[in-house]
Amino acid sequence: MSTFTMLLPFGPQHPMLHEPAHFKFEVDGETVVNVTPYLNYVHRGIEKLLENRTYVQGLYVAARVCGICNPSHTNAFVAAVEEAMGIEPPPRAKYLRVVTQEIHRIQSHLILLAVAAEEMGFNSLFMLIWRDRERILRLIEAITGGRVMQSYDRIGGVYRDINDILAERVIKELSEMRNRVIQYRKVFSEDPIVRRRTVDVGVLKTAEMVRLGGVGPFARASAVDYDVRRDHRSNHVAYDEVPFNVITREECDVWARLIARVDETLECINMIEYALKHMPSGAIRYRAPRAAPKGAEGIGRVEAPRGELVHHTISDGQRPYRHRIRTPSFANVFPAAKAHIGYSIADIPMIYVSWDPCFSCLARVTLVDIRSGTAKVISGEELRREARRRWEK
Amino acid sequence: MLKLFGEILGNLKRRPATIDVPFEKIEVEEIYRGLEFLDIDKCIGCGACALDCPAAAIEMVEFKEVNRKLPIFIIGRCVFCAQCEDTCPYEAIKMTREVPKPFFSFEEDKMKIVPKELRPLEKRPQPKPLPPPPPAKG
Amino acid sequence: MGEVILEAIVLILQIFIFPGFLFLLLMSFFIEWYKRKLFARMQNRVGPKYIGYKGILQPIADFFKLLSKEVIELERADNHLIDLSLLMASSIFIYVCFFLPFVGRPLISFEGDLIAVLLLTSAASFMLFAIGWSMSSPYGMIGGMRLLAQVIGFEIPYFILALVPAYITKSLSIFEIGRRMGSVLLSNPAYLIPWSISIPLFLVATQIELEEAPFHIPDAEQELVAGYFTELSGRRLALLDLAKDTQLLFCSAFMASIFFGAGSPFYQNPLLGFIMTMVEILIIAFFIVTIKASAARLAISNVLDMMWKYLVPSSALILAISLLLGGV
Repeated sequence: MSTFTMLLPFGPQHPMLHEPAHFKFEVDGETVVNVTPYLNYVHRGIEKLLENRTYVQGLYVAARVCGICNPSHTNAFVAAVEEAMGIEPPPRAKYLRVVTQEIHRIQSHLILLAVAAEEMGFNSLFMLIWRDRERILRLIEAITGGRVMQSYDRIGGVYRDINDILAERVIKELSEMRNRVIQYRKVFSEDPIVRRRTVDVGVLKTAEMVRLGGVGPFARASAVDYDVRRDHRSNHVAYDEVPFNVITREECDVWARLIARVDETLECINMIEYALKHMPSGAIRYRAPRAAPKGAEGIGRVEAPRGELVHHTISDGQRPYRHRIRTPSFANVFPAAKAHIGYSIADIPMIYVSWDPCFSCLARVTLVDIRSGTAKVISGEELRREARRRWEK
Repeated sequence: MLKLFGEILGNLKRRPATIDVPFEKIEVEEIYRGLEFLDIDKCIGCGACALDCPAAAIEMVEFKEVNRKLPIFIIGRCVFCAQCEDTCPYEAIKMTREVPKPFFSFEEDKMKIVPKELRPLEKRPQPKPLPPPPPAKG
Repeated sequence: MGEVILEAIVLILQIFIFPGFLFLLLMSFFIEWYKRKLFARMQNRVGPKYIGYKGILQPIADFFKLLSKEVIELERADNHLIDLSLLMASSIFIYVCFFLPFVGRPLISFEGDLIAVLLLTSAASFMLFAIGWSMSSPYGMIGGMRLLAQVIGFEIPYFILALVPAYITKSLSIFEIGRRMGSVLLSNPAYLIPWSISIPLFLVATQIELEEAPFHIPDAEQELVAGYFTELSGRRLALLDLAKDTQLLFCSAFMASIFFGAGSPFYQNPLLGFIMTMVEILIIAFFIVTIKASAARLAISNVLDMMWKYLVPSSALILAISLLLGGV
C-alpha cells in the first residue's frame, strides 16, 4: 500500500530555525511520516584549526564552537588537556569552575524557554524572559569579563578570583532570579494554552530514548537517569562536593522537557549559592606546562546545558595531533527526528525546540538517514578504542 | 485563566527595561576586557604575548626610541581574550575598560594600537616653547 | 438653491475630511500606534519612540516607506487577483466605517444597515483569503486555507451576537441601536443578562476576526513564515497593513456602537459625543491588546473546537434568552 506523501522542506532559512539546517518532512495530510535532516551548514573546521594551534591558543578556538554553551566547551577542553598533562587545578579553582558552569547553564536554559515561548506564539513571555536573562549576563560579565564569550577556565585554573563583595552581589541577584523563575515555572506548567500545545506532544518513551542515544535534559525528561556531573567522577571540577538533585521526569513529552529545564535552572541557583558560601581559599591557578608529552591522551566529559559533551585530545608535543569533539546536539538528532513522527505539522516547531538544537556545535559529520538508527552510547574506553583504531591505520 | 495576565497589566506602570543606548551610556563591569594598554617601562620585548595570541593579533615592531621591539595590537584581529595579559611575565599588558568602538577599516594600519609616546614625531604634542627672557635693563 | 449648494459642500467635506476618508486614515494610523505602544509597554519595552511625539507618527512613516519599496511579484501567482483583493479589502473596511456614529449621525444610516455592515465585513475577510489563495506558494495557500477555516467559524457567532442588541432595542440600524441602548437597559433591567454575557463572547469573536493572539494562526510565523501575506512587499504590504489597522478601528468602533452606544448620551453635544466615542474605542482596543499580550497561540484544531463547540451554541442560547425576555 503506497500512501501519497507531500514533501515539506524546512529550508536553511526559516523563521523557526535559529540556525541554518535543512529538514525534509514527509507529510501525509497533516501527520508527519518521515524526517530527513541535512546538516552541516555551519561547518567551520574547528577540529582542523585546533591541530595547528598550541594548547594555549587552542583554548579560545575551542570556546568558539558554540555561542551559548562556550563555557562547557572551554571546560571540556581544559579537562582533556589537564588529563593529558597530568595536572590538577587548585581546590578553589574547582569551585569557581562550578560557579561559572552553573551560571551559564541558567542563561542557556532561559534562552531555550524564551525560544519555546516564541515558537508557541507567546511573544510577551519571550520578551520577559529575555529581560531577566539580561541580569544573568551582567553577572557573568562581572565575574568573568565577557558577557557571552566567557573564556574563564584556563589550563591549570581559572582567570580571575571572585571577591566577597562580588559573591554577595551574585547571591542577592540570584535570589531575585529565583522568584522570577518560579513565576515562569507557574506559567509554563499551568497556563492552559501552553499545556494544550505541549502536553502529550512529541512523546518518546524511555526505551526508545535509550535505544537512540539521547542525552541531557532531553533524555532526562523521558526518565533516563543519567547526568555526567553526578555519574562521572572527575578531578577538574568540584561537583562531588556540591550537593544537587538530578531532575528527571516521567511524562516524556515536550511539556516535561521544558519543565525539566526550569527545574534544572532552580537547581543551578542552589548550587551556585552553596559553592559561593563553601569556597575554600587558596590559589586560583597553578602554573601549567605549555605542552603535553607526546602521545598523551586526555578525555574531558562535561554536562553541557544540552547534554553530555566530550572532548578527546591526543597530543603531539606542542599541539594536539587530533582533537575530537562530540557534542550533545549531535547525539540528540536521532531521537529528535524520531519524535516528530506521528504528530501533526502544527507540532513541528514545539518538538523542534524541545530538543534544543545547537547546530553550531553539531556540524562535524554529515548524516544521511535516521531510519538506520545507530545507537550511540559513548564511554571513555570505547571512544579511545575507536579513535585509536581510526588514526593508527 | 491566563497566567500572565496580572503581570502584563502590572508592567504598564513600570519603567521600560530598555536602555536607550546612543543617548544613555552603559557602564561596563570592572573586569571587562576592553582595549589593551601597554606599559612601556615594564615591557622587555620578549615576544611571548605574540607567540600565545590565538588570533595572531600582536606584531612585534622595532622602535628606535626604546631600542627594542614592542608589541602592536591589531584590533581587527583581536578577540579580547586576555591571554596576552596572562602570558606576560612582567605584567606589562593590561586590558582596560575602554569598550572598542565599531570603527572598521580594511587597511590594518588604521586598526592598530600603538603606544602613545611613540607615535611619529610630527604627531606627538609639541612642547610649548619657553617665553623669551626679559630685555636686560641698564 | 444656495442651501442645497451649502449642504452639498458640507457633505463633500464630511465624506473626504471628517468623519470621512482623511479622519479614518489618520485614526487607523493612530490606532496602530496605540496598539503597538500598549503592546510594548505591557512587555516592559518601549514601543515606537522617535518619530513624532512619543512615536505617534511611526505608522505613517512605515506606510510611506513601504509605498516606496519594490514590489516583488511571483511568476506563478495571479497578480491581478492579489492587487484587486487587496484594494477591495482595504476599501471595504474604510467604507464600513462610514456607517458608524463617530460624531452624531453617521454619514450613511438606514434601517437594516447592521446586516449590510456584517455582510460587507464577511466579504472583506474573504478577500484576505483570496490574497493567500492567489499566491501559489505553499505558505500562502496553507495560510489562506487556515484563515478560511477561522473565518467560517467565527462568522456565525459574530452575526448572532450582533443581533442580540438589535433584538434588545428592536432596531436594525446601528445608529438607532446605539441611541436606544442606554434607555432600554435602564427601563428593562432584565435585558442586562443577555447584554452582559454577550459582551465577552463578542470580544472573543472579534479577537478571532482580527487574527490576534491567541488566534493568530494565519500569521503563524514559526511554521508558515507569514501565512497568507508571505509574498507581499512594497505597496501591497502597505495596503495590507492599512487594511488590518482599519479592521481594528472598525471592530472596536462597531462593538462600541452597538453595545455601548458610542457617544449617544451626548447626542446633542457633538464634541462631547466624539470624545466619548473615542474613549470607548480606546478602551475596547485596550482589552483586545491585553488579551493579545497575555496568550500563546492555539492550534487550528483547538480554535475550531472552541468555535463550533462553545461559541456557536452559547451565542444561540444568548439570542434565545433575549428573544424570550423581549417577547417576540
